[in-house]
Amino acid sequence: MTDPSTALQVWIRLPDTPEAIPRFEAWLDAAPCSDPRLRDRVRLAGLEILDNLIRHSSPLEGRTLRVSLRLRAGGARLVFSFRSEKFRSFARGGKNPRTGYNIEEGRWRGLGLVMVAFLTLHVRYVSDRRSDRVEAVF
Amino acid sequence: MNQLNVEEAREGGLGILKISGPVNSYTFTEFQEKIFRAVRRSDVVVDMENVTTLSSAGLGVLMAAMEDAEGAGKKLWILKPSEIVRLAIESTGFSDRFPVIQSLKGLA
Repeated sequence: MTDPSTALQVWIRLPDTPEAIPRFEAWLDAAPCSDPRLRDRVRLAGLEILDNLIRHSSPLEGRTLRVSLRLRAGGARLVFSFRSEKFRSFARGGKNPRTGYNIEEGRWRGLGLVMVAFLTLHVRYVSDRRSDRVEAVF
Repeated sequence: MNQLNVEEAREGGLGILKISGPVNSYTFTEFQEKIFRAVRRSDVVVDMENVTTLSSAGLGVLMAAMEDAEGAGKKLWILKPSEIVRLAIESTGFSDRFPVIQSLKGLA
């Protein structure tokens, strides 16, 4: 077991395009996480967050985002850092979609938010002078 | 593995879809087309043993296909889901909507 007083941190810079998805997965596979259940939780929640950033907050300033993963005994902290006017607008008061089946679109909406809420201890949206961030704690 | 692979087969009167790789918003189109077509024809088993990721987009397709199958008087089962598929399903809070089986015994 990892000493709780120590933590491992890894990071990667990704493009704000769909190409980021497989690169994020490969990076996560290489991360020194010995708990497969924790890795799966980080993978599923991280992919939902990343997919939403690419779809709804692009183009990001500089066309990239930074992802960091901090691993501690029994837990992890995943942080997506970037700059996006669209995201700042959302963080100021955007509404989350209601979960349900949209007959007109023929698809479910809001499932990703439900998943992330279940998979994480908490998620925080931060927008300050330093950066815009989504921080997920597991 | 970044590619999604969807193999179609039939066993008795049963349609079988064997899915391999990541099911996400960039790969699910072929899965969506094949599963909706399959549930209109017969009962369907979706083999998810080799699925490496299942995103909300993929889960949405599965849930919509379940509803289509029910509407058509057909059944849809998930065969041997991988651990990450189990976790993804559990995370939606709709686990009871996904009938999971471990073999085809008794179905075909």
